[in-house]
Amino acid sequence: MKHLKLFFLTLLAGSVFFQSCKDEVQEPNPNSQLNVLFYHQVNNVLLDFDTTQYTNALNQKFEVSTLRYFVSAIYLRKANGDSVLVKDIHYVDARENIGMNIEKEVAAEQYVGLSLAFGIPAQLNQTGMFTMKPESNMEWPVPMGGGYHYMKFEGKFVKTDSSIQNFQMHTGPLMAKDNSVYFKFDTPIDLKNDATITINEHLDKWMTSPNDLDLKDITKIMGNAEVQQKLMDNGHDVITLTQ
Amino acid sequence: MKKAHILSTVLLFVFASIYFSACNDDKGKEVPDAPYITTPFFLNIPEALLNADNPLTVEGIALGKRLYYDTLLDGVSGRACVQCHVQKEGFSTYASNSLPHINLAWSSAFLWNGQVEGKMEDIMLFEVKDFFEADMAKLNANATYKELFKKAFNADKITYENTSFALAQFVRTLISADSKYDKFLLRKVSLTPSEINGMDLYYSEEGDCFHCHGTPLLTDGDFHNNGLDENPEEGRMAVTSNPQDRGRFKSPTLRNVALTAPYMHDGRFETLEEVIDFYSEGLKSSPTIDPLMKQIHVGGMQLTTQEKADLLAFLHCFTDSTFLNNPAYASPF
Repeated sequence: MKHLKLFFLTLLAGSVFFQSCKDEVQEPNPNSQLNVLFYHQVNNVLLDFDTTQYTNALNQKFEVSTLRYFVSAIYLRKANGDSVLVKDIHYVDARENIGMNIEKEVAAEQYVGLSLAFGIPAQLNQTGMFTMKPESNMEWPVPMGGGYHYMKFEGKFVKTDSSIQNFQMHTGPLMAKDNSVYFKFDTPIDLKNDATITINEHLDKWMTSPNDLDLKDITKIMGNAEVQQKLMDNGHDVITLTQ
Repeated sequence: MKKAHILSTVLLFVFASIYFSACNDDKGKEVPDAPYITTPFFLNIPEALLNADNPLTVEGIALGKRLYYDTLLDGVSGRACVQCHVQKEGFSTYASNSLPHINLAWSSAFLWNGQVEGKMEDIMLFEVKDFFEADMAKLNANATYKELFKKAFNADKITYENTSFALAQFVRTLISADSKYDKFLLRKVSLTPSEINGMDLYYSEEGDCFHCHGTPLLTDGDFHNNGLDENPEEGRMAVTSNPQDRGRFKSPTLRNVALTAPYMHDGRFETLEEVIDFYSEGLKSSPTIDPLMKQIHVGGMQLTTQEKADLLAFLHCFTDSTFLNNPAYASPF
């Protein structure tokens, strides 16, 4: 009996040995891969930095040199009302091709839509939460309420006298007010298999509807509550979602 | 039965011994001499750009400090890091106009045009190999260094790589975070009314220093054309070949800025007063001027005499005497 036990123990050790370095058996993956791409457009044309001259609603010619921003609270929504977090805070630098996509594994099923905030909701937007660049360079000064810029959209425009002037469309939580723009897309997203969706930012729309904004007024606006509000109002159609 | 017992026992030991060694890649290696045990060193700082391949150790930092101050490092003309980076001058010097070695644990692009990018080890390798043209034979012939490298890295041979690793460890510890401004943020001290006014200007869009010199580091670590010249030098373009980078230079940290004269990449300004005058009314436009230079069309911020004085007072709040006098950074010789 003793020998039999020892024999089985030996067999057990042998089987452990032969299993120990094997790859694990692949189970069918119940998840799908969601790929979120970020595109940037002006007047429905893909953004080109520094060289292409665009026209805004007031017929001003402008070029773009910088586009950095945060989107946050990106959630997939289910029919039963549940939500699945895709990303809490996401940084994009379009010029440097930073953060141009998000990959996320989610349960393979049908979703009824996607929600996100352009900016950072107030409860998340705390000075010091980023210690490393590039995100840390979006800091919004403490004397202006602290937290982080939502967006730095900068460039040059041609004034009426044909001279060139810089503009800096910097939006953020002036005096801790939540100026984020919230989007809720009721677009079915089929993730029974891997899928790609595209979040498009339409830069021209920041300057119009309902407020036509003159680029000469889009400078030194961080402390200007009225302009921050106008931009927030204009932001309602800045983001579109495509599949 | 006895045979079966013996066979089973032998097999058990064989399987067991194979099992415990099967996934081990060190099979057949000779057992080395007992290595020196280094002493881990922990920096009590927020997330920084450390290097898992070069963890901070007491021995590595001490070796790096010695190398930093030792003219033996220079294979050609007997220079040392300290000749361009003096502690009392914020680890910069007037003569060299070198960027200060302050808080570089958060930096990933080095030198005025960012020609060295990556980790601290990369810039130190550049300094050791290209700048100093260090003579490794000389270092290897030095018994003291042989022992110190053995203790720090268990290295029998001193190389460009482990020399740059030691220097990187030391430079990572050069952290300034105890200026009057830091103490003010921690509510340990008050600022004068003039300093407060200067701070408000610094962090407003009227003064707008903070976009390039914000965050606790007082630099964005980025490259800007700040309007020095109508026909700017190449700057960052020399590295990227992108014409849009012409005239762009790295924003230096303003920590200890009162001690790091002269100013700008070419040291054209002798004093902080001159720098403030430049940003107030001396800006020059060029095709690659940074969009953050908001008042470029009128030549600058147009500050009043009082505003200039306030801003100057606030800039002096960045002086960190704890850092400037820290014995941990001082010469070991």
